[in-house]
Amino acid sequence: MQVDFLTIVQLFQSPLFLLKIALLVIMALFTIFTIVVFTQVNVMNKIINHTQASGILKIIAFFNIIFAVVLFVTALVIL
Amino acid sequence: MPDIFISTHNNKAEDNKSKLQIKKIDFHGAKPSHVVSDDNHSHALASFCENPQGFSFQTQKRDEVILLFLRRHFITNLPWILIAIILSLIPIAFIALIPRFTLLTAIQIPRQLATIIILFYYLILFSYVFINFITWFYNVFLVTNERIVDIDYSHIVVHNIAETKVGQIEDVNYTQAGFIRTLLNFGDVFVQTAGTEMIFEALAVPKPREVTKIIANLIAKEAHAS
Repeated sequence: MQVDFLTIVQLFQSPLFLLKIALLVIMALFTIFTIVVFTQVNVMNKIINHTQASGILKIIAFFNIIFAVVLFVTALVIL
Repeated sequence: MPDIFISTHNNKAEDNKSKLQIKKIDFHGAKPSHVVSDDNHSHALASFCENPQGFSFQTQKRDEVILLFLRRHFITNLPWILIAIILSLIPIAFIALIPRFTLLTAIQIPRQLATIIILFYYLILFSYVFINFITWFYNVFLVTNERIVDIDYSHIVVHNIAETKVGQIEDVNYTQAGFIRTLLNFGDVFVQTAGTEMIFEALAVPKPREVTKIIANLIAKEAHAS
């Protein structure tokens, strides 16, 4: 199947398509940001260690990454 | 009618009974509830903690004991908590109001895209809450038997650790101004050190007068020892 150049141009002129692309880009950036947050939580846990809370915060930061990745992949597949 | 003559016999019996109960408690090794001070609790959300248990920091020496653990008062988190609550209600309100505006109903957004946008919105909101929480959680001011450690954490990627020995402290004072600060008993503590004239700040910490007193006692003890 050949994709016509004109069709691609028309696709990029559609506001809905541009919205989807923008959303995916923002989601990718957000996923990177959650990884930074997780790294920082690990660093801070090494600096201050609280036996009760350190592990919980690490788990929350980890799940934040998981949710971001899952949502990004879902958006990539659905949209 | 009030009792004028009360037999002392009954009181003595009650006294003996209570003594027996206390002995029983001691025997089992448990502390009575009134002995447990509120200041000694070291749960994760504590803002003021004397001799905290379960806390340690990276540069802590083996014989170094944390005497005081301080964080900003929990009430200082109220603004971002309120913002988060309001932001969490916006999509619900928006969905409820859509049928009332013809302009919004005219825009055709696919259901799948709308679902992804809403889920992403709540994920960002969750991150906002989490980041604000860890910013509060990791901003810590520690007083040990040897030094003062100020750990500042802000804007996710910025953290600053400053410490000074107790012998280098020149002055310690506090400011408590404002209605809410007076009501909830929290304020700013400033510790000035010698040499570089560095000032350590413990902002919006609970019981600033007690904090100042504890640090002043530590300085006096150090001066007496040397």
